[in-house]
Amino acid sequence: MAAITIPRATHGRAFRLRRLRGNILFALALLPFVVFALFPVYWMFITTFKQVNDLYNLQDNPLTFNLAPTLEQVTYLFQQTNYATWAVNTVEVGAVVVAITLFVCIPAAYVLARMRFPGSTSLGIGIFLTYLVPPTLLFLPLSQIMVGLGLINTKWALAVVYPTFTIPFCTWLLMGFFKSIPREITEAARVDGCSRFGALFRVVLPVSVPGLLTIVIFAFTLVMQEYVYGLTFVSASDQKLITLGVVTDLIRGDIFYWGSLMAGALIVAIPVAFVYNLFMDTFVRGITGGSLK
Amino acid sequence: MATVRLEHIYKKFGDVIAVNDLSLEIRDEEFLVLVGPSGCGKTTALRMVAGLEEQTSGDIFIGDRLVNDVPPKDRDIAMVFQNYALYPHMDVTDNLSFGLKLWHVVRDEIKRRIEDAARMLGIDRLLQRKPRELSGGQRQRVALGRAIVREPKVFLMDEPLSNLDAKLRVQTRADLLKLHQRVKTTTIYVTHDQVEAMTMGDRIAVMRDGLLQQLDTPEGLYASPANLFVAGFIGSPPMNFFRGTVRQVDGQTMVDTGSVRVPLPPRVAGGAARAALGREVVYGIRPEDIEAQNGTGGWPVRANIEVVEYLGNEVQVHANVQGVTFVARLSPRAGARVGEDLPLSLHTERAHVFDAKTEDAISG
Ligand SMILES: Nc1ncnc2c1ncn2[C@@H]1O[C@H](COP(=O)(O)OP(=O)(O)OP(=O)(O)O)[C@@H](O)[C@H]1O
Ligand SMILES: [Mg+2]
Repeated sequence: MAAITIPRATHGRAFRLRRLRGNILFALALLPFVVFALFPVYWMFITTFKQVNDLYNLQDNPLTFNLAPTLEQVTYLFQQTNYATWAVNTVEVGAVVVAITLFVCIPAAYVLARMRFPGSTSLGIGIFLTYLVPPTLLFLPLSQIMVGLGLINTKWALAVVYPTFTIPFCTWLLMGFFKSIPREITEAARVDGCSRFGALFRVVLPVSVPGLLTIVIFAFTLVMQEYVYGLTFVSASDQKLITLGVVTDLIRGDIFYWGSLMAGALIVAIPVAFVYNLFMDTFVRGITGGSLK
Repeated sequence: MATVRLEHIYKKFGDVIAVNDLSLEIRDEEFLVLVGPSGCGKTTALRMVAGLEEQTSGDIFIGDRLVNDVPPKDRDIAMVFQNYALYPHMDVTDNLSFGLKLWHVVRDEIKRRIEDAARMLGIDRLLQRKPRELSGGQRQRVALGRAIVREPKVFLMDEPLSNLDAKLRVQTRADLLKLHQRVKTTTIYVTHDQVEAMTMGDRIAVMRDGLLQQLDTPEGLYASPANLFVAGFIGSPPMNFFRGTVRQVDGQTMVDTGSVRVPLPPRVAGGAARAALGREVVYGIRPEDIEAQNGTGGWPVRANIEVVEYLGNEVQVHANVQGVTFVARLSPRAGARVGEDLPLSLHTERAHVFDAKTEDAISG
């Protein structure tokens, strides 16, 4: 039998040129958006490392270093303020909030997504609605509760309060995620030897890693950026979280410590941006593929 | 190895009665096929045996054990789902060993069973792959393998071949039968395909609207369908039906459609024939029980040929006898031509008669 040779695909010069032109046009179209998105970061970066004289001299070009860069603002941040403590507080409170959120949301979302019982749908919607109640309505009654719990003016007040809005939102989010996982997979696990909860831990959760990561990031980001409750419940400097601490302790009256403010923001922004990009890309891609049909 | 017994099982979803008073005994080592049109309650019945759905009332026994309140994991069954339901985050080996690890089967034994099953199913080269890296047919085999390695008392299979293409389906059907001959595990197999049911089942349970219509061997279902539904469901192309009245004509009991008269089959004789006199009935005859006349008996009719479908080994013709149309399977050499008349003979001794109102078979 004669061998059949398939001609190898070869691209001509014209084709390559056309593709190159397409790529260049694409990059040009993206450019304005990239500039728009990255400018604040650049501004933070350059302000962090500028000398004070450079920063306040109106004759200088604000977009570049006119005097040599300096670490003096960063040093100030760490030596003259509680920045390191705030960072540690943020991580501690964040970890506790994430833990509470996962602990409550996973079983709640699983039950709402999987069980049929009277009112299960309206219960799910009801949970989400509580998320829409504005914090400004709640901080007075909640501060009473914090006084009652003896947590007022400590960071742990925040660790208790933040779950009140991470839980509704995350339960809702995770519920959608669980619903998208085919019921048969859990049923297969139950036939194979799992209890209902065994199936949750051995099959549903591993498949839901992208959803769980979304929750973790959401809850942690919320802890990092929340301001109103922080301002209301915590006034001792060593109990503050980063967002509150930086703003309240680096703006004294009408004096803004711009360099240190920007340094404080930049230092937390970098790891967060890193984590977002790294995790979202790798985990979201097709982890559930191929289970059915 | 075990029997499975369903006793007066009902399942209601709100107002819908999905399964209606189903009583069924599946014998040890039997391959029982549950067949019926879409929505007749096959999946629901199977899921109740698995324990994934709770019956509204009735008892289910696996072996001698009443399992009404036993969770799926303790019923010692394995299920193959219609859409396979492989664990997407595990490779094939882990998919297969998942259940065994849960039951603390020792490592060597797990390895042996996986190797055996993989060889039998021809998936031994795929053990390191994730489900998303497999073709539909391969996924289906892994799903079967996951059931086989468990070595359960009962296999439950819900249309496991329905997602395969025609050729692969025929091949896997044969493989499944071979597998059953080897391991002899009691199996309940759900399908809506009567060909699959006929080729695979030791016995077949035909369901319709939640009700069991007939439980019999493939031969039994084909030769003596209990009612009009089963008669029309089993066989391809389906049985021809025409309505008529039972009359005494020239000393012989006949079914009279108004224009055509055919004799009652011998199975409706004596008392039953007399009781049927004057009643409205449905007369059924299978396409394969109609031949071109060749002088070897049968009831002669002259038919006008309206459609001829050539299939190579046979032709299926749509024939018209004085306004009554039916399908016949003829030899390509019978010389059927569209528009022409052809003498046919009906093997009325193999015909079926059903009561027009109750739709039950009349025999006596
Ligand atoms: N969870 C449910 N809630 C409400 N009704 C249901 C539910 N599951 C099944 N039904 C109904 O019960 C009846 C039987 O369904 P079932 O899935 O058992 O049919 P089936 O014979 O398996 O059909 P198919 O061949 O299409 O798979 C149908 O009328 C269906 O609509
Ligand atoms: Mg079904």
